[in-house]
Amino acid sequence: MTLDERIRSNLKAAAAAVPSAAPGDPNEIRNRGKRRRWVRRAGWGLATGIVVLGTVALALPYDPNPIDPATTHDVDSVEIADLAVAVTASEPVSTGPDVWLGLPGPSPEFDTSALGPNLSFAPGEPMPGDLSDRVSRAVYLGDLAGEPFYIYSNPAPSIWDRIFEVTYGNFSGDILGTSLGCCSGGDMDHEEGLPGLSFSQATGEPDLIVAEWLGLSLDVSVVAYQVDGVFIGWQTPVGGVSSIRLEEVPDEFAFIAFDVHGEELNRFQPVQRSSMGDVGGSSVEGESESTSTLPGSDWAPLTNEGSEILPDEIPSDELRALIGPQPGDRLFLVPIDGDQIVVVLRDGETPHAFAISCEVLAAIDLPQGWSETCLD
Amino acid sequence: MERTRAGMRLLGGMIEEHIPKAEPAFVDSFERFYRDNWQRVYRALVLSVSDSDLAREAADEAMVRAYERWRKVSRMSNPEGWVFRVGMNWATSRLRRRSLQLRKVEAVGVVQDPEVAEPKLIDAVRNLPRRHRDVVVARYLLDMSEADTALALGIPVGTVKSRLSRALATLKEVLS
Repeated sequence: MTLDERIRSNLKAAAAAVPSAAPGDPNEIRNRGKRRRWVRRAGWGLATGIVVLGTVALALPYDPNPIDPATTHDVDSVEIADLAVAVTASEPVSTGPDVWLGLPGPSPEFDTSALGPNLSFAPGEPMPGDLSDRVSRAVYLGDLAGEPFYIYSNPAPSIWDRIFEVTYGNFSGDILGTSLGCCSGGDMDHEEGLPGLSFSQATGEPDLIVAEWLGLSLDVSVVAYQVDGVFIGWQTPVGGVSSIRLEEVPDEFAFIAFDVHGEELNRFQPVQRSSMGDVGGSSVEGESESTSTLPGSDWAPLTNEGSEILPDEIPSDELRALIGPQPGDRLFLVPIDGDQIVVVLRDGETPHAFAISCEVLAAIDLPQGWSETCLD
Repeated sequence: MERTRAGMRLLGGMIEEHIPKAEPAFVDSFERFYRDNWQRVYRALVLSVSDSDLAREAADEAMVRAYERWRKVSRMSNPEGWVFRVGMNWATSRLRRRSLQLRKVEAVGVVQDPEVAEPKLIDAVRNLPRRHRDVVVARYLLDMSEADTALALGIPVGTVKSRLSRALATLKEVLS
């Protein structure tokens, strides 16, 4: 019996051995889906009306000037479903719904180049025209990829499942992420604004996988995001909110908060178990070293063993098609036991190893966090 | 609190009255899908997340989302794969957000079951990194092709291949 057959037969036997569970009543499942669809459609209809009302001009310039941490004790804040979000003034810049401008954290005064690209919200202007009337108050965080993003609370996706849900996204359905699922199953188990990952299929595919840290203190200048051991970018929080989107669910991740001088203030690093241990996270505020270790020059060890090549020098057309080189990529040809792999370094992404042969790739002990793709 | 919940239920009833009724064929096709696939998705999720209660909730939640988008999901090449992926992501989210303890393999009665010829192999699958395990479960338990696995997990086919290859290498090593 081949290994494939052994895995298949044993997995099927193991699945069959799982004590069977009675599926829920399909009517109940359908009703829940039906209600959500209805709520979503109703939201869109009402949003259309709001677009008309949104012609009332509300745009005030966003103030990107960093605040002196010494003055943060008297900043204004707005409650978003129990989460205090720091804002620039006590009055909203627009009403119906009320929109405040989020208060950006202080700009970093240390070298952030080792932390990956700057993924911060860009200063912009709130666009009230696309506000849904399901939102009564919101805080504008800034723009990402040209879209204005807010943090707000709304009764979504189903009023039976969650009474409140904090959402950060724009109001045209392109939600960046949701958090603070409150009252799931009817229990008032409100979760605090902890760092963590959230997942959502709210806007269909692709899935939204978001790393987030809410309720940050106002002296945080940089939140650096580390996935599978590699820094993938950093962000200056706005209103104590930091959030970035991820491509896929990481096995390991860490979020590190730095002050304006690069001193580590706080760290969130879930415990990673190699087997079926817990996957819970823990915040170790106040227990960290006073400085953080930033990635050194040895972060891409395999590239030291290879030679840098141009896209034209990729060994085969198949491999070139697999890699799909982009301007700015750095390519390294690495000899492996008579075969070759290509390592691609692309801005804002983890190193990616490509090979024609999956066997060759599987034989390499790639550094933690690297991506890999093969053909056969 | 009770008053709030009662109010929500009342509001729910009012909304229910205004929800348009779905046509019977639409309902039938979903119910058929639900009955044919719930148990398989649930079992795959149990193997993936090692928590039968969470897997049950995740399977239900994924089915609710499938019905919510049934017109789109029903036209997909692999709706079951979509539901598996949604359930898996939802369960992962719950685990990470709530810092739940993953239960031991024994909790779902897999290792000791005499019907499993090679408990060591199942144990090895369970100890694979999550991203490798999901590919193995999709390919071998749900019998998905590499292309369907890629669609279901939202990753390129090449990544499915590399993860599978790596998973098989690990399993081979453990079993040898």
